[in-house]
Amino acid sequence: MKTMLIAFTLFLTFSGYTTNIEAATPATSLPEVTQPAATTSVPPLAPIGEDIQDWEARWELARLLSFTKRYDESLIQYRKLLLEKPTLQKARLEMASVLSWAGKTEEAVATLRSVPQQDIDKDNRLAFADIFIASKDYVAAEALLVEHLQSSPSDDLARLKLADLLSWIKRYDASLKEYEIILKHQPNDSQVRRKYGYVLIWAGKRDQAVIELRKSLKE
Amino acid sequence: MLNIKTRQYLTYAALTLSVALVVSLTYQFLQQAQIQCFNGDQMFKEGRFDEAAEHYLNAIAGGLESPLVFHRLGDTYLARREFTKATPVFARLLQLDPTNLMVMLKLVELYALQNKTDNALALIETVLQRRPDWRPARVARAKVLTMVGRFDEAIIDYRLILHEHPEDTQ
Repeated sequence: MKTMLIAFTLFLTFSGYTTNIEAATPATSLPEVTQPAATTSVPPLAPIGEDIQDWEARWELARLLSFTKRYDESLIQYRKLLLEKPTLQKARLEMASVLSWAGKTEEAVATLRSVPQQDIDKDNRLAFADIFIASKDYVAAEALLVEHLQSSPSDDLARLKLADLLSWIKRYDASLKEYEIILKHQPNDSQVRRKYGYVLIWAGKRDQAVIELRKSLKE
Repeated sequence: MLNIKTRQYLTYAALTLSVALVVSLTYQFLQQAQIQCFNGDQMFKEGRFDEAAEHYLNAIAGGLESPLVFHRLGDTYLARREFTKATPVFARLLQLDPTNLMVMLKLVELYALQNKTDNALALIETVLQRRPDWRPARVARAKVLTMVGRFDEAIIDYRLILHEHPEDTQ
């Protein structure tokens, strides 16, 4: 139970699912790109008992160094690995994550841009969208989020991210549509409704905004 | 009444016949066991693991208790991902061949697959004591250490595998 709570808290932090109640003007609350809790669920590259090649050992080493937050050392290993295996896009994506955790956002984005979008797997799209958001590359972030929502339309946290993002770039109508879908799924979520209310204000729909904000206070 | 000489001949004859019968039967059993083993190999190659296991078990029951048959039976269970069945087979194999490090490593794999990481680590330490420079064993330890979240120790192992100094950060 405790683990689930921690995981949920991390997820909320990671996904930027926080509301700035005082945000009365359009503002971008950029999510901080943080490393999720160290995981031991990384699929092994080869079964235990079988020898592995040097590049595979280096890959495991790079991962482990990132789990222990030794980002600089991890990046050294990822760079060595990619020198040897330049087409290993999965490793390049992992390196992009490590770069972002190390606060090297620009380099992370440059690394991500060097990977064809079709090579970005479903599980990583949200994390990479955060990296693009942190670097204010909203177009790239939007593309990832839209693609993610096509395969997981019920992922309201991702949709909220997209709704937020669209409001930051002043595409209010598109943003409002996304909020409406979330509110259909979660009509009692006062935080989402409050955000929806703010976007209505920014979109100049003040009457509707008042109704929504009142509703959010009741909830 | 038979005389002593005749009785002796008859006794020898009976004994010789008994021995011949036992040898012949044993030979037949072993031959049948070998056929079972051969059939098991065929089934294994065709991916018919259930039948392969049955043949290997029959071969063992028929007296063919060779390490090779146990190894094949263990591999069959592994192919079927029946780890709880494979474990005692490889444990028995280790009894038959106690210095076989490959069998130990196989058991390490099986323990790890069943999340018996303490057993896996204990056995891998034995392997590494006997052969500290054996790379597959060090890789196995690094993997099990990763499984249990002992990342720092796993990092040391991977650096050793890559011939990097543990303090080397370049």
